Amino acid sequence: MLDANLYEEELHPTPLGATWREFKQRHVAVFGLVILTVFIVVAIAGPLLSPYAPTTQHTNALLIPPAWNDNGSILHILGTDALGRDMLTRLFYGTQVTLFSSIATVFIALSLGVAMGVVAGMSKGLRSSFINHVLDILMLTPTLLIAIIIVAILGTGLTNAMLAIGLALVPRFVHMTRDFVREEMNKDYIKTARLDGANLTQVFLFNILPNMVELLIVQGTLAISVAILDISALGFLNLGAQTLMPELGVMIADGLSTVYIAPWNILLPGLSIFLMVLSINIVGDGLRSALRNRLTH
Amino acid sequence: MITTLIRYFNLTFLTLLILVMLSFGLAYFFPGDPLTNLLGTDILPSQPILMLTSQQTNIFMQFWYYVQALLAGEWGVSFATGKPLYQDIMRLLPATLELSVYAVTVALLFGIPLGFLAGMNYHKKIDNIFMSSSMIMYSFPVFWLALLLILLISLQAQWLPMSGRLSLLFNVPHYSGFILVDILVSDIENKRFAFNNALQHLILPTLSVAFIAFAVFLRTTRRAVADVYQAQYIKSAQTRGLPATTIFFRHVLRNALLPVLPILAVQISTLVTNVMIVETIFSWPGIGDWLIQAIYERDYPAIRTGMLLVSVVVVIITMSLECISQLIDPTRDRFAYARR
Repeated sequence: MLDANLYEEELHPTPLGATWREFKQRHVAVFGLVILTVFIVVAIAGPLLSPYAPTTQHTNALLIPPAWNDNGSILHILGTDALGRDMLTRLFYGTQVTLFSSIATVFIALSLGVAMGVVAGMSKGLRSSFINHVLDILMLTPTLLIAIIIVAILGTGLTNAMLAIGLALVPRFVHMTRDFVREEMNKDYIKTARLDGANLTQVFLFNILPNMVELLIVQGTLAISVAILDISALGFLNLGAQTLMPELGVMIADGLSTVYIAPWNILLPGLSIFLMVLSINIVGDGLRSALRNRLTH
Repeated sequence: MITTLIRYFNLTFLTLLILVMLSFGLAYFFPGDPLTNLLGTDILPSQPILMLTSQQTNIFMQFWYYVQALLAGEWGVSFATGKPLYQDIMRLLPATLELSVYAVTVALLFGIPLGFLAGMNYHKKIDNIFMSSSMIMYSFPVFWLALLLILLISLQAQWLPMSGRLSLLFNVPHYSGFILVDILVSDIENKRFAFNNALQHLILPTLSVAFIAFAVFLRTTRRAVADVYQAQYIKSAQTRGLPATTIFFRHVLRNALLPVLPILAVQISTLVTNVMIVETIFSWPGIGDWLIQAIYERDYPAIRTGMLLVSVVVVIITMSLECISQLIDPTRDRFAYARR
């Protein structure tokens, strides 16, 4: 039997549903999400989409311009570089390397940052002070300097670049978590939980963390864009990923030697980085304002 | 006020101490012999205090003499050139500072007024245009932007030079290290041409760095202005019938400018990273270019000293800006650094 009050019920969307409803009001944000999805799909499925390997050198097809150029070839839609490697294939693999290494870096930095931030936020006195001093130095030191030091100690490589950028990202998560935890610890629902006998670990896991997830997602998204910029910059400076690895920054550095005759070799990888970062920024920004506004409607 | 000053002085001192300890530790972390990494060579008669460091067996005494040697300007010699690092760095640092200062100035000069314009037209068309373009601007990878500028303006249009600080035709004696100041105080012939040439060399690097900083300042100012305009005291001023210009100059301007200084402080380290990257691309003879060269050459004394000096400069500038903004606005109960 049908409920008689069916049509009088108000629709109460879930928090996630409310966020999505607010998010899709902004067409730019949705557009950014579409571009980002394309990048992620390409990064995952790229190897399946392309007939070539990223390191295969087509010695009879060096420096071919993109297909829309008169001298272009349909075999290499976005042209080839000075060693005859297919540009489109390398962009697929490059997106994969750059995007996923950035996401991994941010994920690790985020976990570490939140853990330290909780300790800093819940503790007082000397321990908190010590954590803060060390973090301030990390935060004040320019990312490139941290990277240079790590490269000098451990040598070049993508992993070391990720380590450097992760180190530089940790303080921002710690600060954010610490401020949030401090603020929440003074609220009544935490006091209630404490009176019920919950210890600090339980308070964090069951009361604070669920409230913090959205903040973490927004900040994490924006941090990914920073990580992409930094990882590709280190690759470009030859401090991060090395020449054989199709990383977008490395590809730009490789293209420099032939920039006069083949400008697309630096334009296309740069454009991919730019679009990737732009779409992540747009999505992050849209997400932030959606979370802020979803309760007001 | 005194408390604030003491607090920041204390903070800066501790931070610098940890940095010096780090740089001392680096000599041990780098591959190779720690003492060679510290000195640059085995024997160094020109630097007596640093030599004392190497003769100590106790690590605390080593550190003690290391600090003294640093203060005395005995920073060791470079692996690559064999020259004392102190001279090298003192020659390079002004070039980096010069570029950073001009970039910040340009970014502030354009970012703040346009931020005001956007904030006063909050959620209107002009604001949306500014917001979207600033979003695009800070998504640019700085090295790609610099390359694009070189490609379009230097190579295609041939309007501006693409590398260096000054054309080799001019021989400007070294005075302060700041190229524009050097040209002005020097008494070479064709002073005006030299000055113009230096300016032309400056434009592209400055633009590349300022581009991204501009977007950040624009967004901060716009947010601050929009917040101030929604505050109750503005509403009450409007109700009292004050003209818009009076409201703007008396209430909005000062309150909206308050958040800019802290943001500038936070941005300094990002800015230095960008300056260092741009230096390598434009062959700007600054400390960033030199440090990256040092890493290619595995020049450990240079890396250690350069890293220490750049971070010391960054820490001192950031801390002074933080301190000033705390003094200007004591209600800002946010110690961003080392909050207890």
